[in-house]
Amino acid sequence: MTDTADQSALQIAEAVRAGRQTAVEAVTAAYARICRLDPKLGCFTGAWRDRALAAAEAVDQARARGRDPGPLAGVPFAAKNLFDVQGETTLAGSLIEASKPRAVVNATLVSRLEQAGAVLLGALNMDEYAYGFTTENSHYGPTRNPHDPSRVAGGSSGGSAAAVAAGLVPISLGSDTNGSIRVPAALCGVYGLKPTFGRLSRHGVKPFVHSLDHAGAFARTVGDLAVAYDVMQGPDPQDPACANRPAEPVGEALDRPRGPVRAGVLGGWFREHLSPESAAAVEDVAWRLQAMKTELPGAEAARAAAFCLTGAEGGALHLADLRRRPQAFDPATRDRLIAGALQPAAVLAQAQRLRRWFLEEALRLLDRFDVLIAPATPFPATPIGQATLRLGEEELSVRANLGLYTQPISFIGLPVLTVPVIRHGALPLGVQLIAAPWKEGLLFQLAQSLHDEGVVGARAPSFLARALEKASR
Amino acid sequence: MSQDAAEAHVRAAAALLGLELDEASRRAVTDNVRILQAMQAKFMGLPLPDDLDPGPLLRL
Repeated sequence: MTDTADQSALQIAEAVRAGRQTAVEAVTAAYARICRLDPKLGCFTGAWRDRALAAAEAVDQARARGRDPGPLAGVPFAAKNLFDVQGETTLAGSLIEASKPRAVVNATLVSRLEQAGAVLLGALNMDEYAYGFTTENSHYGPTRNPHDPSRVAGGSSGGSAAAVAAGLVPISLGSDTNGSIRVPAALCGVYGLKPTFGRLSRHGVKPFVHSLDHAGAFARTVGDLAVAYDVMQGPDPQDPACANRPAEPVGEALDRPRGPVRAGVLGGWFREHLSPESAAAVEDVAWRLQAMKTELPGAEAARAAAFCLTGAEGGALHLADLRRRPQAFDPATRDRLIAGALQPAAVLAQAQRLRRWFLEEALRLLDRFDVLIAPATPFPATPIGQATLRLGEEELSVRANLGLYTQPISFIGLPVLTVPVIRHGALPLGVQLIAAPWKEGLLFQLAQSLHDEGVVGARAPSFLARALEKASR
Repeated sequence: MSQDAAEAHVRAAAALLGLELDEASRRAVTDNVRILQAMQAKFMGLPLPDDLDPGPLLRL
């Protein structure tokens, strides 16, 4: 049996479409790997073998009958347990949701991946209600970083990033409100896409902060991320924020040589609290793209406004459960949600108006630059349970600061592709490539060219080789 | 805002929303309120023109 961990999604799909491998074989191999490795990593909150095998058989039968099995034929994938899956309970990382009814229909993005031939294998761990950056979930345990299982995977889509980094699945779904795709992608060393606000449907994705929530994906190669993104695009009237724009495929343009690009590397706020390692990662990308130094005015205020807006909307969303069963929350999540809900209305009004102002500042900057470069996190993955980190003279809260550089950007809905910078023998780090609204195609082209030039790329975690070797003895 | 004022705000606002807080939770919520207040201070005083309309974030 081919170990799908060594195959990209595109390679699996090509093999299945050509009849060299069946979807059932691909799914069986992925499931076996999950059984072997996930107990050490804690990526999955549910792995659904029977459901996956039935779906894989349907893909194989479609091919046998001469029908096109889809561009992701037989490709295993998994979704953050925030996405509805028909017949399953959407946990959202909480105990409270565990007692709620099972989902009646799939989230739109789950359905679109399945329609493209991909096979859903299970649901992935996350911070409770997506309110965190480390996936140290008090109900379901922490997700461990495949590059060093004593360290966090990042969050809130930590299970999604770690599952892809560990080769358990080549593609996963996640959500990003303040950095929840970009932070774990960076810490686990994979590609993470947070598209333009409104680009991908959030229908069937348990909300956290309606005005900031984005759905997106993770992959180990740019090509895999592109094909997943392409099949998920398109309007969805079931999500009122989903843009009524036709799909703008990015996959076909990946192989085209990129033209000259006007790149800017963000200073100011995006250099404060930055560790030397993260600064070096940014410099690697900036140097390759011949980026000019620039600044995005108001980033600190924007981050603060996003922070307050998150607490207010999140707190309001969960108010009924905060009244009825406060003890069912992780106390840290609960007390942050309550504090958020207690904010005066004037704060929210000012935050929303600042958001417009900050977007206009960013768009002015994006008239001068095609792409902006910023760190994804201030430092690499920290040990599980570590509350603070010393940077120079400052003792920084890990949880509060992992999203320092991601929050201002999602606040205004700009598309971001987080790319894993190649760092031999060191923990992974990622860099944000940021473009003007709806310019995801440019980000994919740049990511592919940076990969081809040897600057970025996902590498197999050394932990896995050791774990697999031990299991085979 | 002082610690006392923050605690008073938490008691009053929690009561308005029908939230019952035990002593430990009230202390933790107050700590979080003070963090939020520090964040608010970074943007509440910024002068923004009256005609700055938040509207839909991006034109779809």
